[in-house]
Amino acid sequence: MDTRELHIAGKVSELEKVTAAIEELSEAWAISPKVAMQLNLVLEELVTNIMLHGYVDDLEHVIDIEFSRNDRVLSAVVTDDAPAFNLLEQPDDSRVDQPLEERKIGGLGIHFVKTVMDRVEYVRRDGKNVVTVTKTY
Amino acid sequence: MELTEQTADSCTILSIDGRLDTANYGVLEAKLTDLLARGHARILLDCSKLDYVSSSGLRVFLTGLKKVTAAQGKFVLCSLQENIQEIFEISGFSGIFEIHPGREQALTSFSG
Repeated sequence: MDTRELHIAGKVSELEKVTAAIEELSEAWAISPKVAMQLNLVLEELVTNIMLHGYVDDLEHVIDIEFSRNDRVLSAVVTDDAPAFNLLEQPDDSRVDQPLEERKIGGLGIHFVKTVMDRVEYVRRDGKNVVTVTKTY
Repeated sequence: MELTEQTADSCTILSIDGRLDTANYGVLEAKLTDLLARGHARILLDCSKLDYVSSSGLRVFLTGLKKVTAAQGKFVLCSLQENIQEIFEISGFSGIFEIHPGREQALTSFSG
């Protein structure tokens, strides 16, 4: 199993580090451009949710991302110290089959994460939210 | 990400070059607001060079479409890359947006 860790500050400007890490991994682990993009989109979604909705103070926060692969199974574990938030328990408000008037501005991201990844798991551990997404590539 | 504006007979063409994500979606949002404020409610978004769009970007597309529709204009997309087309499909956007394979077909949709 190969792993790679990334620690980013809880700020939107840090997202480019996620993109850069995925680019490097794509080469090292022979991940296709399509799967790399999907992984980037999923991580952007998870990390953005933490940054925009998770923190209740103005302190500096760190988000840990651990990428790993085992044969052709790719995993990313995102750990944050925001208050407890289980994305899997949120109602799906994405309304992807609705016409324009019914479409809401929110709700797209989590729907996308669940659709594109093979597995999404959440656990609250040691005062942190831990989300694991897995995809065979 | 770069935005280029061109005026055609029947509409305004906006070309997006690069990524649209949480860090920069505001740029497109501001541009669309600006176009509408200037009375340009017939907009063609050329996505041939759009190579990444996250939910933040999709949200701008959605609010753009709603605002243009409210202004009785027309908002059309063209030349989506394959991976981007798939994101649109997963999000259900291919059902609510008018999407053309190329600029020519898109421009034709504005005339008449």
